[in-house]
Amino acid sequence: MVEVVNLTKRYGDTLAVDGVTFQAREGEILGFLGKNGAGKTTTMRMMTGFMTPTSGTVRVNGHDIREESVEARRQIGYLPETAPIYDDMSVQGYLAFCARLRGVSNRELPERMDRAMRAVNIHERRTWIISKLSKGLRRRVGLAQSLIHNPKVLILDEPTEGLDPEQIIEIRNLIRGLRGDHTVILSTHILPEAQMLADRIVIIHEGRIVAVDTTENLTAAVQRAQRLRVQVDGPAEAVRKKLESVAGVQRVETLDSDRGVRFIVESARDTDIREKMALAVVNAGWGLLELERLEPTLEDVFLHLTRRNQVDARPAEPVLVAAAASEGDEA
Amino acid sequence: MRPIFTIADREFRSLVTAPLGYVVMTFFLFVSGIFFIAPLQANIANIRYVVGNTTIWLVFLLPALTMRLLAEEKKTGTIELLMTSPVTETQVVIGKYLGVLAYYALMLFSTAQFVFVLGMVRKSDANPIFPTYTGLVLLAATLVTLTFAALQESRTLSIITGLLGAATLVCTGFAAVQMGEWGPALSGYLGLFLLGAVFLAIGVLASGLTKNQIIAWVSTAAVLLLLTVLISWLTRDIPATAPALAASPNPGDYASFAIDWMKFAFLHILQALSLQATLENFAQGVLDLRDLVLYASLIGASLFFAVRGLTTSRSA
Repeated sequence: MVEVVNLTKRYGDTLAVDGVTFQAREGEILGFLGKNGAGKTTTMRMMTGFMTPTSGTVRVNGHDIREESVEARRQIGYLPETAPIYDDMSVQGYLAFCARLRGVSNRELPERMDRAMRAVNIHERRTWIISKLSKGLRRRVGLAQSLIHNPKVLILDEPTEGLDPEQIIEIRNLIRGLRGDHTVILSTHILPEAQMLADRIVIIHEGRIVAVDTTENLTAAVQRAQRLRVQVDGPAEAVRKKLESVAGVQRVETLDSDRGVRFIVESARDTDIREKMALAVVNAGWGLLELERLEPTLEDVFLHLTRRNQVDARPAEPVLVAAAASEGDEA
Repeated sequence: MRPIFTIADREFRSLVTAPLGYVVMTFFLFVSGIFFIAPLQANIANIRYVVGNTTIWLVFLLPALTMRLLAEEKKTGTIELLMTSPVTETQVVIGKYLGVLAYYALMLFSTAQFVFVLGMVRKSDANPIFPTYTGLVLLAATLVTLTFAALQESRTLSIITGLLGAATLVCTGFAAVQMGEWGPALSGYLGLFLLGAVFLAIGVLASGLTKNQIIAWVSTAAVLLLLTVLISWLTRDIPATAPALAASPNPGDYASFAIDWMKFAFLHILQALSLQATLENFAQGVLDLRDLVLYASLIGASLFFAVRGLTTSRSA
């Protein structure tokens, strides 16, 4: 169990992390979601004791990371963002080093190493020198070292970043398998990843927590509307009118386009209007260039949250709307 | 204690198996070999020349062993895993220091070959098989098994290495007795080891203060050069007695007296820090408590500040 209380980190004049408070319960997977630069890595570095917070604290199973640093760190397995590893060591040499450093006894060592290497499926390459491993294999070695001492708490900073799709699936399955035995805190900037893996999601934006909720609630909130992207070769206003007239369409938004006109069309969540839309466009004699269903993105979550919060009239939020809207195309 | 040993073990192992360690060791043996052969050709068979002349090369060689210790970890980010493991900064610094110190001891150990050769040269009726040839073979065997032990992480091989090393040392003892004057030779070696221990501690500090290995190397070498050669050059002819004021001084005399006095004090402080002078004592077989105190303070201060540097890097 991890408690983060009012954690703040200031670099000169910039507040990188501003009063972050949340808890990770025992045995759950907590998704720590935010864009690049939102303060995820800084927060995780403070949670693992690598950085001292400007104020606030972190308690890992009741041990304060500042007061009882060594004891708190003993409870943690950590995979930093870049998965740094000593290149000149062999896989087993490196894992043995990590295990001894974290207090695994010589008697337990062979079994723990074997278990960690099997968990990440690297035991066939145990004698390889790490510099010869591919990026995905290195990441697995990184995960193995975080598991080697069987820690209660696992902190994984963007564990799938920079891997190819197959490796991503592998790593995700592995993390899913950790639920129950370990408390896992996992950072990511990919919304579907958090939705797939996490029991609960904490969303951080510009150093502040903007939402803490179960994955189901957040997903449901975002997916109330279904969004389609449509590109049509035809006169903008006429096409727009036509699209709005299709049954089930709730809202049409015009976008810029190099050829023809592009729209974002929103409809109710449980109806599929794609066929009707295609028919409408084609029957009018225009060319249908593109028709795609959009998955909700992190930006949608931000937009949704900020809209909701505006209704609540919270003072800090208008800034967030502007920021989220201006970066809306980067998803 | 265990984290210290674990970290030291890793550093030592990586030096034994990585190119950097080989380059430094090769160059060290090459240079010390020259200082061994050259006097021998002039019919002077004495280990003292090796000890005395190798120092200046250590100024450049030993920083190469220490430069990567912390700087490389900071550059590649591996320091993040080290500092989030349940170990203290002190354990990290001491572990790394002991790792390179052990490697330096290995470097000195491999110069035992000179003792074997000298034992035979100095005593014409000596049996060449023991200790000389036996010792040389044992020495080579120790180094070879050590490399394999480090590569394969095998406990059995480590024990064999230890036994071979101990046997080599026993042979070295016999050869040293044959060689004669083994007392000064031993204290010379001890001095060389302690001097290296100081050099390495300063190197650890420099490596802890930067991410850049080149900067760590250059700055360590510069400080060591200052502590050895430059100080003895600066203090080559300082007066032994403090400057005195003339009996009936002119007003201008006060100023020059003050300057003389400050110069005198400064040079004496510098002289007290000179490592060259201490090494001359060691080479003559003199173990001076003041020298040991100087060494211990330099090592202690360097490692202390290296620990402080690591601690403050957490809040940066």
